[in-house]
Amino acid sequence: MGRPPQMTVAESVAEHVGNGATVHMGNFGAQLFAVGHELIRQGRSSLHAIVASGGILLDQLLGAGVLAAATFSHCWSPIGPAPASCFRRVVESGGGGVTFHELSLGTLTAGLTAAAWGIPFMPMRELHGTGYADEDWTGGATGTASSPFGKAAVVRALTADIAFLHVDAVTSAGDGLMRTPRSEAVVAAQAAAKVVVVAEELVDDEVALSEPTAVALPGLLVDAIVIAPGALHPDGAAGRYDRDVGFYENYAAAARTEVGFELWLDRWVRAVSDHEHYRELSGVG
Amino acid sequence: MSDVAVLRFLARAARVFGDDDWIFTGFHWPVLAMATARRLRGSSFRVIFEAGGILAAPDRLLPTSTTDYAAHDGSCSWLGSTADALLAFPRRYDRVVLDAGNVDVRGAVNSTAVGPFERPTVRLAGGGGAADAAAGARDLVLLHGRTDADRLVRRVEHVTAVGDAPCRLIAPWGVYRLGDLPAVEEWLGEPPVRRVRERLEDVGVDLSGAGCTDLDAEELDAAQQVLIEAADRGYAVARAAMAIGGRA
Repeated sequence: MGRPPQMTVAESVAEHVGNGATVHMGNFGAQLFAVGHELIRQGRSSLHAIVASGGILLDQLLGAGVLAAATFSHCWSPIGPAPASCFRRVVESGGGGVTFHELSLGTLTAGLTAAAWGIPFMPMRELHGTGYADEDWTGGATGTASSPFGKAAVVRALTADIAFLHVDAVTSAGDGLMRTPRSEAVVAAQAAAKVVVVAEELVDDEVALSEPTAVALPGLLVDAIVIAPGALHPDGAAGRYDRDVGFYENYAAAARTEVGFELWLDRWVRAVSDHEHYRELSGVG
Repeated sequence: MSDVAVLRFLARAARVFGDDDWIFTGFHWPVLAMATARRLRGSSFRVIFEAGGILAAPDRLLPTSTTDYAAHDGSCSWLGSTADALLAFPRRYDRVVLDAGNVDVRGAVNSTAVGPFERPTVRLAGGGGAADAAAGARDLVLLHGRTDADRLVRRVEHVTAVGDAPCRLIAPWGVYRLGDLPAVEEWLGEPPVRRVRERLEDVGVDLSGAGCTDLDAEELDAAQQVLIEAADRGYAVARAAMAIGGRA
């Protein structure tokens, strides 16, 4: 298998994301804005994004017209909290050609588990009384199945062509160390056909040996490594940089209108050459 | 001093974080209630967030949300996953505490839409893990921070979360048992204004059995300090409460 190659954010998107791909955008709460912005810069289209909690990264991908579908559990700006305005506009106007599969976060995780185990669906707790069950918010992602052991609600396997996942540090063997809750990152790595790990720092292999409980993603699951300090900004990275409240607030204000969003996108994505340039502009990492 | 009704609400909500309890904590008001409880009781309880972290100590910064990992750094005693927090653990939690911006007297929460789901008038954020946490809860507490009762209805339009467990609602206008026979359990300091009481009766809440709960100065001060910090951390409700009352 060998050691996974190291590449830049731009290279990882160019190599691993084709138009129409299903992309897992990790992590829940630690969103890889560096990757999302690169998807927009490289003009990707018709993507299906799987995002545990969309946040403003999903909002930006929707606003930029990158997506044909989204599987998600919610979409907002956590600061405030404030609405994700692009998301609102798209949905309130009838969907804009985007297919939404809205799952509870537990159901989404169960779907990833099915994909990880190579099985077509996963039984789950039926969320009776909610719109997930009664109104099919999932857009066909859930159903029921009968077995000799009883009937159960089920969610289909959520298989991504590529998963981008954040870790705090990575070794050249691809072992990803996390100092935060794992959220959906590990099962998303297991579920995807290919995995790109985006880390704040490259460390020696010996670090993994000395801190084995910190290795959340073994290199076995990793197809490429990207070292990109500040990749989560404006989200924070534990022990490195805090969530940027002001940046979030400025985005929420700008994105309230389509014109404002486009101006924001021009300034922070389209006019930015790459992630390193973004770091200089934002001052992160 | 912030809006005193909000301070009482936050202080009362903090009481659900009891010593040695394991509490699943949702975003927004539950985070502020947790932070208030931390100021009062330190590390005496454990908090589980939907990302899978178990927090055993006060956060270094007030979290902007439950996924503010930089704020939680150094507070986690266990680093689990969303599957742990939402699917495997709920039957073990002493309590599940969720935000409830739009709620009905049965204890159902709507976080998804106003109007038809396919093309709503207003698209809200969605439920996240609330449905999973509520479905597995043994004891469900909903927090609603508005000082009017206009968003407590007989039946929400869409349901993102509802539990089978006993369900209480804590709001600035009191503490309520929700379900088949919704009723007030406690006023906070004093009964709410007549307009609110009329609203509650309109949606079928029995107001006859209310006791009065007093919140002490230490509790109110802890709530005030949390609101001050929350205002700096971007919480709109904290800024609104302080705008009403004037910053201390």
